[in-house]
Amino acid sequence: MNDSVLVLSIASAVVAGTPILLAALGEIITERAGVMNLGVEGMMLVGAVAAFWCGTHTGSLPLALIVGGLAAAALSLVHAVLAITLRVNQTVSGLSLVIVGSGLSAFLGNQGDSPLLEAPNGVDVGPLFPEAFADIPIAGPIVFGHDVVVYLTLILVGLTGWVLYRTSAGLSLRAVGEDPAAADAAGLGVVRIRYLATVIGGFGAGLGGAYLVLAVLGTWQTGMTAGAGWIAVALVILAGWRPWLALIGAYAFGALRGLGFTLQIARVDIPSDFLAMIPFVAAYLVVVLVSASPARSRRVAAPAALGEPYNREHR
Amino acid sequence: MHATGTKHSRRRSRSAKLAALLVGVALVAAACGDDDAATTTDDSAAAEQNATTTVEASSPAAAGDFSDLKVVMILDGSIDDGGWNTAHKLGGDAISAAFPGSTVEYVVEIAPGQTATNAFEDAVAADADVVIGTTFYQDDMMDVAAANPAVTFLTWAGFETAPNVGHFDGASEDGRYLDGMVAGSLTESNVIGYAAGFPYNEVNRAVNAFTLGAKAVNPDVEVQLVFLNTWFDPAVEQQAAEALVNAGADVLAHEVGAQVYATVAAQAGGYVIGYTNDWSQIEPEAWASSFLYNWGPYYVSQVQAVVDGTWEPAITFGGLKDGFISFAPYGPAVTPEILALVEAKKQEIADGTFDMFAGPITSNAGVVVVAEGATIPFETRTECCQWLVDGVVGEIPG
Repeated sequence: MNDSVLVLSIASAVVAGTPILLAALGEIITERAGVMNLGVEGMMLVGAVAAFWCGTHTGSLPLALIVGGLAAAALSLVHAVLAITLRVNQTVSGLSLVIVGSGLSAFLGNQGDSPLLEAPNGVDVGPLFPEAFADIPIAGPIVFGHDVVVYLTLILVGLTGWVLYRTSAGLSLRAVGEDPAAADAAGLGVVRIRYLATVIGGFGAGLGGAYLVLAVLGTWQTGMTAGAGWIAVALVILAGWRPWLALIGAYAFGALRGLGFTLQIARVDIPSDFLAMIPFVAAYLVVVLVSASPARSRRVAAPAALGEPYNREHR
Repeated sequence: MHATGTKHSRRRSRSAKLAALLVGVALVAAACGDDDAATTTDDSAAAEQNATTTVEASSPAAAGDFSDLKVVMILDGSIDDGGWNTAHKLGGDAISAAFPGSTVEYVVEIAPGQTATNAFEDAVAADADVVIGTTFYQDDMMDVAAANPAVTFLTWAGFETAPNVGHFDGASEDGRYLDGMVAGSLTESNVIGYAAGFPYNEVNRAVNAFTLGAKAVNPDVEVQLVFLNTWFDPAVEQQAAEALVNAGADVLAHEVGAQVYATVAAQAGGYVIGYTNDWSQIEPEAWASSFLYNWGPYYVSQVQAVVDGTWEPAITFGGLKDGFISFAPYGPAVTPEILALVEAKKQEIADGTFDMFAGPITSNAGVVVVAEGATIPFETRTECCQWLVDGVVGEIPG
């Protein structure tokens, strides 16, 4: 039963969705503070190359993840300086981050006598639970078959939700994203909070890139995210800036993308180019349905000050 | 007071915005222009140097000294990609070796389009004698070639020649047939997974040759084909590879870009067949085989003809017999028996005694596509195929 295509597809969807979910979680925190960072793709690449480098040299998964996160966080600082301190157009700054990140990661991956391009994966990312769990019907592969990062990501989703809605830190963060002027008047450090949120967002993108290269793919290649960062950005909007919906969205995206191949192999008479389109069409449909639903429209609205630089002297 | 204050701060913030915008644009420009801009300045500097040295050295260009000869190769990726572009780089190395003193320069990461046109113009301005384009640049360089009749141009897969423009392509199917033999020998489940990009002629032809090779050694084999609708997206390719393994494939082949087939095959305890790759270092246990393109002999012969003044425009489509196809080191699972079979067939293809497309060939839709006694002549192979041979599980969409 555990060999059935359906069970295996769902299990692989969880793994496929996790890098996007990690990056989306980070971006949710950034955008909730009112900073729009479109540079997720570039940050994921830099996080991935740093993590892969660290992995091949140390063989340590936790260290590689942290290094990947920190490298991307460092890149996000560029965006923070441009967008928060210099109050530049955040779209332009975010887009430049994508290009800088792509170029930088390609450059770094190609340095030295033994470039990362040809290096085998130094990190062994195995399932967290003992093998006996894998024999449990259905739940074995789907629930217990994954590596530690998948479960860690689930914890992070819960943690992000809890911090955002149940702590004063989360309240401050959301206040800064909704009405920075009022937050400022209430004594919150708008600039400090936005910086922090941007850097945390960068860390999340880096983790996503690190997981993608270490656990999902196992090899570094130039430009290997191939648009995953953009899907993460879209997912944030799709999820209405909510961690739990981002989780569902990421796993659903992974499932639908895998479904295309499962259906091709099952010789379902649908053209493969149409199947490749399914996840994106599904995303559109969800957006339309969610935003057309009057009861939810208030709750899925973007942070009111999203993408707007805050200038204290501007009131 | 208040109003002027606001105005003032607005103006200030506007100039701050402008400054930051400029920084952003500069960043973009720096990143975008990085490779070609840097290379072209190098080129023009080198061109000036060249010009001065040629004046100084004047005529005594004795035989065996090719310091006047300059070849510029334009590539759409990195020369270290371990696949397509690395193969062309090795061809460039062969030119350097064959013409001592000559200059071979590489302009990398040039996508087809206006950037490519600029790169070809820069190459001419840098005093190149031969310009080689390693992807489909034909539409971008014909005008440049027409304006510079003294320079010889060679591009991959072009179909329109001019007095100074020739094209070349390699018959991947010659290599693919032999890779298919390896895959057919290694599979125990009799299911081989094959991930392809788009259903173009060249891709379908390679799938067909691969399947014919696999079936020649193992008549029960099935090649499970999926189209990815992308040339490069490792995460998508990972899911496709897993789906193929879940469908029972124990050997994975591909014609896309990611290395992930090697890792997925290794995890599943199976084998992987590359596509102009050598992954024997990445997953040594799972590694089986891959054909490679060998452009060196062709490039050297073309440059030699230019040097001799005997160069003629041509469209060269070369296979094993022309030395265009070589092979990566075989993996440990490829036994001497399999290797002997492959080597024998390689010899037969090279000397023309074996024709993989000799009829009768039936498509997987049950249609006879090559009749008994007929074949697909080597010269017109590029017009094939919009069908998939019997043994392929999958179909061309649309």
